[in-house]
Amino acid sequence: MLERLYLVFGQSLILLIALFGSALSVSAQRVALLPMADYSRGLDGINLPFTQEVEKALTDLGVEMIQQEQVLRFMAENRLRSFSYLDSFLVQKMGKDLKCAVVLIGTVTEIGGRKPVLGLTFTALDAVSGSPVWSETGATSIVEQARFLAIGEPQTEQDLAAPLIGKLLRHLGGTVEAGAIPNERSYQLAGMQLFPAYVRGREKIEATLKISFLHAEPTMVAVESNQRRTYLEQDPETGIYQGQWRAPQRDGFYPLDLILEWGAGRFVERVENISSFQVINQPSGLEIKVKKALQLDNQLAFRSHILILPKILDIKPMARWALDIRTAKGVLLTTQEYEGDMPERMVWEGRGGDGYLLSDGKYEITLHVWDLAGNHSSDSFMVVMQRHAPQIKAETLVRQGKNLLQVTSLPGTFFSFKSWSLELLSEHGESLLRQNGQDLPLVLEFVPVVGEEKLFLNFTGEDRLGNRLEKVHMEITVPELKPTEKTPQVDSWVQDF
Amino acid sequence: MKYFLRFFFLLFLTAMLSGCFGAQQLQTRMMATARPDGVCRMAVLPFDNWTNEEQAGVVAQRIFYGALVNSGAFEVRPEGDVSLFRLRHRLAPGALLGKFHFTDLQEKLQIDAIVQGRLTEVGSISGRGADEVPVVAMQLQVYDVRRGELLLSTFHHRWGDDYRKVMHFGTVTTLTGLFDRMSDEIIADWIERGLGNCQ
Repeated sequence: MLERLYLVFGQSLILLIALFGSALSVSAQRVALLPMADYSRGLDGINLPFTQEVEKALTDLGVEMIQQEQVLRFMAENRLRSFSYLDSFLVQKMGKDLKCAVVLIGTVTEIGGRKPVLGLTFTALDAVSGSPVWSETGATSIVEQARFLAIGEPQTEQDLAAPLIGKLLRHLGGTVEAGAIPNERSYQLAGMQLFPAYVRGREKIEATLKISFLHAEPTMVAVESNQRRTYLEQDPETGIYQGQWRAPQRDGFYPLDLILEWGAGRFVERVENISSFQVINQPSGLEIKVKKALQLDNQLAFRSHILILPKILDIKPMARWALDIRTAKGVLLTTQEYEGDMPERMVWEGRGGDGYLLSDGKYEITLHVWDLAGNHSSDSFMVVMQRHAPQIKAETLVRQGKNLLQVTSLPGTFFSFKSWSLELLSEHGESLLRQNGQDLPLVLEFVPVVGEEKLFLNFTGEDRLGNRLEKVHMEITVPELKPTEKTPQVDSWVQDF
Repeated sequence: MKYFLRFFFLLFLTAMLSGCFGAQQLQTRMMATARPDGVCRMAVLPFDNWTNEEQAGVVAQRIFYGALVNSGAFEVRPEGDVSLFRLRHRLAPGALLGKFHFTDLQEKLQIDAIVQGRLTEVGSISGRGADEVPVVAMQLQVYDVRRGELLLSTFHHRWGDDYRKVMHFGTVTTLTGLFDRMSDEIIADWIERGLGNCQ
């Protein structure tokens, strides 16, 4: 009884396999022809008349073709613009969706010309494995087809096409073999994105996974990192898998594996190192060096420009950086923010955010930098900008009967003169005084020309930053001598009676 | 008379054979550390085009790819798989490949070697006793992705009338035909050197 049962079961199984096999072989003979690429029309050019001609030639050879409308629909649905991006997954998918055994792609490599030529290449891809299994290239030209007395000689590329296509595709029929599409867990990984990919410890990470499956979708899709698994949920509208988790506390680089589970852990496939994220808790640190500035009286000072050299102490991927300029009192004059890495060097000419030169004074420059995890570092320095030499005030004094020239610096500058030279001239150009020196104020004695009310001063000076001041023919008014009050002469101490 | 005939026979023989010892147009340099055995699964990257012929790079690459498939000696990865790999790594034709690329190629595409090509001359010339004939010069490099090393480098240069037999017969008059013949010659040379061992 048991033997009989085995026999019936075996027969049924054989019948089932035969039925299933025959169903596959029917679908397996079909060929899907993609639109022929035509490089004479550009990189993305296609040649539909040629495609129809190839289709006709294959039909004549007894090959069952998939309708072009179905092929074009498949291409549109799968966003397949050209077969340059027809990967093994899409070939398998095409085989499954269009029920074909072979996907045929063809290219018109050259066509036309003064003496017409035609070049074609075909490749057949097996829809079961997704791999190329057959290829043929051929070309001909009018010159090659020269015939005796030019009888029946082809004249155009259309005349060349039919025999060439027939010759190339002659052997394709034998390549089209019956093949069952295995129920393997094939998939196409379109993209995996982590946001953010750089985080601080315990911050939230979101994952977006775009994946297509040839057959049944897995029951569970998860990502695993640092021995911690996070399951992703599928958006029913878009089909995109999403999930989120908190990053580990410790600094480090964490690779991510993709886990696909079919049937509650029965078939598990792990795709290693599909993506990664990095935990950064410590700021990178920033140090600024300033060049082209002078150290004067324990202050950095410049007159033309300074070179700012920022140095990141611990190199990490940077997100953005910013520059602040403040007055000595802390008033923010400008702030500028940029994305990406900080430049290795910056030149500041003393301009504000509007591009105009700022007035001479003391400023605080601060640089900020944020790494991709959001950690902030900054450094700042004070610098004195003095683009102009101090202004001077010159006047003459009379003290104890002596005529004196006094020259002083006007307030408002940080650094005084380090050297000067002057010449005092009379109204008629006679040199009254000539002197060099280092510091101001100065008081010098001179002898005026009697009767003249004006003096002229030529002054040249250079401050400690190198700014020069040149005053030519600076007029100085000689103060009028106050008329002395004449006291009556007393001849005798006794008033006359 | 006997010596006279013998002289002419030797002259004829020399003239006939001298054609066989012409300049070698296909030169392959194997690296000293190359291990060509076991190179079976291959992929072809788009060829770099150093010529003025637009699209010559993609045409040559597609024909070479077809010839590689047709040789039956290699398992060739589909062009789309390579395109997606290039897209992921943002690789332009002719881009230098690094160790990271080789590792990823091996992991994602499961290949043994990758072919990179460069077209240095594509055009047509006349004045060699025939009408205009195409001329092609190309350089191909095969990288062993398992070891991240260059395996071999091949330079090949051909004119269409190199294949002439008698009168104009045999002359290749199309670029496609010339690319195809050259590809076949290169692949045959590689197989002779031990590549394509798909046991």
